[in-house]
Amino acid sequence: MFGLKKDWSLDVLPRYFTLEDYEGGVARWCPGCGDHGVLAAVQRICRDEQLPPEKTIAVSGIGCSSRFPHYMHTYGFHGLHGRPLPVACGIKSRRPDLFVWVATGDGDCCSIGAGHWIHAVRYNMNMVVMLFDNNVYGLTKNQTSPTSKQGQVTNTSPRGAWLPPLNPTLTTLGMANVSFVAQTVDWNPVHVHATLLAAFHHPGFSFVRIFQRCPQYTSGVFEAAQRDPSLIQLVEHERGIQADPAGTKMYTTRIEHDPGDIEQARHIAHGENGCLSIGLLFQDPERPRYEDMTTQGLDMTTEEKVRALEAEFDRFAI
Amino acid sequence: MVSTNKKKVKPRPLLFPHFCKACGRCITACPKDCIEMGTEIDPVTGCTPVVIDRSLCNDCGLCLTACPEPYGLVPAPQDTEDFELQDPEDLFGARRTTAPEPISIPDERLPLPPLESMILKGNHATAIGAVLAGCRHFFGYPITPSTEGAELIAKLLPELDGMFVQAVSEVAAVNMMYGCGGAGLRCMTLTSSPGFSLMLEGISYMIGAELPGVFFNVMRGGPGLGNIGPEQADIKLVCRGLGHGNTHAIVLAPATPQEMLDLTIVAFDLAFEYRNPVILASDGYLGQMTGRVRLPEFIVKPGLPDWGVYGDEMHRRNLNTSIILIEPDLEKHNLHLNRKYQQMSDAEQRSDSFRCENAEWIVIACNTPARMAKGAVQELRGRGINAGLFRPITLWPFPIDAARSVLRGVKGVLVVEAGPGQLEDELRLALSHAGVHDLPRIERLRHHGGVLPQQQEIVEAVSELAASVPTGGAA
Repeated sequence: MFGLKKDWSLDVLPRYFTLEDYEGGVARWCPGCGDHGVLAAVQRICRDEQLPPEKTIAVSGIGCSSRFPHYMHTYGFHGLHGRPLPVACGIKSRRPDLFVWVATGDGDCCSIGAGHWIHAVRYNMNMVVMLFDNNVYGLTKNQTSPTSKQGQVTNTSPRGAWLPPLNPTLTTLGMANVSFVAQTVDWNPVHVHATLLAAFHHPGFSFVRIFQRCPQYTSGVFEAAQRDPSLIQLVEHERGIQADPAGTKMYTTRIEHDPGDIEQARHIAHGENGCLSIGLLFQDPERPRYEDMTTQGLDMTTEEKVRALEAEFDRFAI
Repeated sequence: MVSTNKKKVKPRPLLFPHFCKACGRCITACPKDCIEMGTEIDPVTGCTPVVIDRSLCNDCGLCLTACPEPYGLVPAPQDTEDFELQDPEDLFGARRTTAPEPISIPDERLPLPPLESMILKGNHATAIGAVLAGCRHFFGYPITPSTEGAELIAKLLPELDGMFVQAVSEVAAVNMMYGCGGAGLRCMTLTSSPGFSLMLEGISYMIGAELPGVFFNVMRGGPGLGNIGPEQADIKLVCRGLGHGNTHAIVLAPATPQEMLDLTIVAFDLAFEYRNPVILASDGYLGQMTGRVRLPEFIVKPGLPDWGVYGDEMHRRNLNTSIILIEPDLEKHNLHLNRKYQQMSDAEQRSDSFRCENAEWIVIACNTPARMAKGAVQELRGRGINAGLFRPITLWPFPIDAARSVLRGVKGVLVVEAGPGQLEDELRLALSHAGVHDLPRIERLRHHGGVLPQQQEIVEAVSELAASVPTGGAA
C-alpha cells in the first residue's frame, strides 16, 4: 500500500501511529457539540487501522462540521460550500490508495451540494462520507436547513419552518448505485465508532448520517430520544454494525434487518414508528465503483504512453 | 357505407416553411419518400424546414395527418394553378389578437409621517430600505457577514404582502431573481463575496434579457473562502466582471448605514429605469456597523411595467430571453446595450467630496475606508495641509466628470482602499478614457484580508506625499 507502481518499493521502517499522530490542534467547536465525538472516533479508527497520516485525507465543504480537516493531522482539503464530494471524487479518481474521510453537513450536502451528492452516490467511489445532521445552519448562526423540522423557528423562518424536512437517508437509499447507508447518533460514542469502522471497511461510497445536536441552536431536537432510549431503534444483523453490547444495551427497541434488503431499509429510514433508527440500513459491496474505470492507465510505462501517443497522432497524418 | 361522392377530393400537401420545425414526422409517414430534411435554414425561424418533391406524391394525405403544427403542412387549395407563397402579414396585416396592449403602471410614492432617527445595523438599514422601496420578493442564502439583512426581511415581508425564500444555493437565488424580475416585480438578494461569485452567471443572463434586480454584495476578505472581515476586492468583479459577455451594471458604494438605506431605494429606481440589475457594493464592516439612520418620508407603491411577463392577458405577448441566435441581431442587441451603458455613464455618476475646494492633496476612498479618510482629512487640515476627500458613490460609472474638476490643479492623490488597488484601476481607467494624461502624482495606501486602513496611516501617507512633492510643483 505504499505507492501505486508495482515496479518499485521502499524499505519502510516499521512505524507505529498513536492518537497524537492524527490530532491537529485544539478543536474550536462549541462545548457540547457532537462534532467532537465524531472527530475522536475517526482518529481512533485511524490509529486502530494504523493508517499512515500521509495516506489519509479529510475533505470538507463549508459549515461547522467542515472545520474537520483542520483538526486532523493528516492531509486535508477545506473546499467550497457544497462541493466536498466532487473534491473527494477528484482525489479518489486518481489516488485510489488514499483513505478519504468526507465531513459534510445538512446544509452543505442536502442544500447547495445536493446535485453533487446524487452523482457521488452513483460514482460509488471508496470513501467514508459523514453527514453531520443537526437540522440547522450553525456557522452562519441559526438559519433553516433542508432537514429542519416543520415548525422549527430559526432566523430565516421566524414563523417556523414551513416545508417538511428532507430525509437524507431515504434520499440516498433511492439513488442509483447506492452501496452503503448507515445511521448513528452523536451521543453514543460506542455506536458512532462501530458505525464509522464498518463504513471504513466497506469497499465503496459509505454514507453515514450522524444525528446530531447543535448545542447553541438545536440542543433540544433529540431530547426525547436522549431521555428515553426506547425511542431509538437498534438495527441488528450478523452482517450489521457490531457495536460493543455494553454500549447499546439500553436500546430496548430492536429490529432484525438484513442489510441486503433495500425495501425494508427504506421502511426503516422512513421512521414510520416514530423511532430514530441507528445501525446499518443497506450494504452491497458488489456495486460498480467508478475509480475502477478512472484509475485505468495509472501503471502504464513511459514506452507504452509514447506508443499510444504516436498511434493517436498517426490518425492525423497526411 | 358506400361513398356517393365519386369525385373524391385528394389533399395535396402544401408546406408553409415558416411554421415547419423539422420534426420529421411527415418524412416517416410518407410512403413514397417524397419528403426529406431540408438543408437551408429559414431566416425567420432559424429552423431547417423539410423539402417536398411533389412529382412522386400520390396525394395520400398521410403527411398532413402526421404534421403536429397547426399551419405546417396543410392541404393545398384545389383547382388552382401553382402559386407563390406570400407572407400573410403582407396580405392581411398583423395577426389579430384580442389581448389588450400592455400599459405601464407607474410607481407611486405614498407619504409617511416623519420619524425620529433610529440606530440601525447597516444590513438592517438595507432591509428596511428595500421594504420602503417596494421590494416584496427576497431570495437569499445564508452567508456571513450579510445574513442579518435577510433575517430581518424574513421577519418583515410575510407580515406585508411579500415573501422571503431561502433558496438552496446562491445559484438558485439568482435564478429566482431572474424569474421574478422577468415578471416585472421588485426583487432583491443580499450576499457576500463567495456567494456573489456564484450569482455572476445569472446576472449575465439578467443583463442580456434586460431584467431588473438589486444585488447587495457585502464584500468580505478573499480570495476563496478568505474570511468574514471587510475587504474591497470585488470592485473589479462588480465593475468589470459581471459574468460572461458584454455586461455592465450601475454599482453603488455606500459608506454609512444611512446610505445603505438610501442607496437601496435608489437602486430599485435605477434597476427599473434602465431595465438592468443594479449592484450595491458594501463591505463587511459596514454591514455589521450600527449608525444613525433617518427614514425617508415616503414608501414606494410599485407599479407594473409593460414589458414583464406578469401572467395576465395584457402581458401575454411579452418574452424575456437572452438568446438571440442570428449574429447580426445579437450585434444589434449589444449595440442597444452599449447605448444603455452610455446613458448610464452620462446620467448616473454620483460622488461626494469633502473639503475639496482649494485642496492640494486629494484622498480617494469609498465604503468604510472613506470614513477613516474623512477623519484624516480633518486632521490634516488642522495641521495646515490642504487635503480633501473625493468619494465615488457610483463605482461604475466612475464619477469622472466630478473627479476631473476635483483633481484639476492638485499636487498629489492618495487612493486608500482595503483591497489590491481595484479602485485605483477604476480611477486610472476612467481618467484614461476621458483623455486625461497629465496626471498628478498618484500614491496608494492598501490593506488586505479584512484589515482596514487606519486614520493615522492615511494622515502619515498624505504628509509624506506632501513632503516629497516640491512646493509649487503642481501637475
